[in-house]
Amino acid sequence: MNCEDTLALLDAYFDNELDLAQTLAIEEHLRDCASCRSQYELRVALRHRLKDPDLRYAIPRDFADQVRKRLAVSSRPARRILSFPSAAWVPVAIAAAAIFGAFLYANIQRMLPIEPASMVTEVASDHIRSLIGSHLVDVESSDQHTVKPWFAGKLDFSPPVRDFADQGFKLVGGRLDYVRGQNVAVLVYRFKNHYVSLFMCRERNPDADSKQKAFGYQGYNLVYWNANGLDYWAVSDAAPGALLEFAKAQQEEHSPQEEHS
Amino acid sequence: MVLLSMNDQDQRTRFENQMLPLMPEAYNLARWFMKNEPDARDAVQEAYLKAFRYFESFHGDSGRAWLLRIVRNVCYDALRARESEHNIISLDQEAAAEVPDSKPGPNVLAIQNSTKLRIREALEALPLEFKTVIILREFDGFSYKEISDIVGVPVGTVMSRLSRARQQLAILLQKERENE
Repeated sequence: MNCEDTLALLDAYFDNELDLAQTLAIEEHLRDCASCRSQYELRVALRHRLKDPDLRYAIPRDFADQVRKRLAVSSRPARRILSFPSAAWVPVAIAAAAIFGAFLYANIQRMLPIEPASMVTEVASDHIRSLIGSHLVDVESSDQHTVKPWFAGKLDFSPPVRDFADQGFKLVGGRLDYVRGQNVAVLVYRFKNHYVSLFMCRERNPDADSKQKAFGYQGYNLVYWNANGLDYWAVSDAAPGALLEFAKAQQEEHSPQEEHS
Repeated sequence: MVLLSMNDQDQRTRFENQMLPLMPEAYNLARWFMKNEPDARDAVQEAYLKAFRYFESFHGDSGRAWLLRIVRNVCYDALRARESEHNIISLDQEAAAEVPDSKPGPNVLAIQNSTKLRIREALEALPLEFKTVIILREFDGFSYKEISDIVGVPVGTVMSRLSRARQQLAILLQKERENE
């Protein structure tokens, strides 16, 4: 087993999730490879530190009683209340699933889960960080004429900025990010309860296939396309269909004539 | 009628026996997710009420995984609601509040240097999905399969999330060590 294979399975090995043959293969490699061994030891050290009981939040003193009391006054509904109306919906649900399935098949055959270490990972991680951390937008405005000039001078290209509130994608603002050694413009849109980040950067590989591609990564959906010398990445936890709508709207708006308006 | 209520009482007892002892784990998970006590309490209480309501549908062998899955879902929903409610403004405020004092006093420094706080902060700084798998694996000792059931992603994703989460934790801890 080489280093690459070992590192790919190292966490599973560390967590005792491998079968015997794999375990032995990894152990053999770890005996000979100091670099992989240090990765393993790092996990051991980390686990040791995470064992600290102080990291566990203790349940507040009165809390268990409070929940017990609350449960005591709560009644369980008979199961028919739950299952009867839903039974009536079964044919509808099946029909809806079939339609949705056909739609998926027709539109997103390329929406495949792919493994890390790519632009997909970077873009998805950046999007996730922006939601969980605190850096959603640098400039907050639903007005494209405020957001667009904000990017001026910060990038060596002028990102097209459009609001699609009428199609459900409301411009929230923009931010500047740094992805894979490149400055990128990010526009943030709101779609229902989801955020959509649209990453724009200079195209990396002008000869590359510019066809739209869709990816899935850790529950997030991504759509890539290329237009007018820019690479576009849209990412969101919204449904794949919604994200494709968004990509479509963007691409329609990004016709070259519009570009200079 | 009498039979029915007997049955009901039975269920209630079974639920209490199986689920109430799991509250420390449920609370710990919710507390890590929600980042404050009142929200964690709300989430755990809601999760228990939900669990009670759907207890009949629980047939698996791991009550822990089943309950924590409900806790996780309630927390994620609450976080999502919190996010859209406070919108961007409060996210910014949160950011402002979280910026550390540039010149910490001696006490603050002493605390910052404590190992315990460092690992806590590193864990808190992890993206939610990463934090989830670390807590379920390292604190609660769930298997990949169980985590996959709780979180609702394939086992392979559990593994890659854990791997990336550990790398991130290692980097954060490494950085802080260098700053000392």
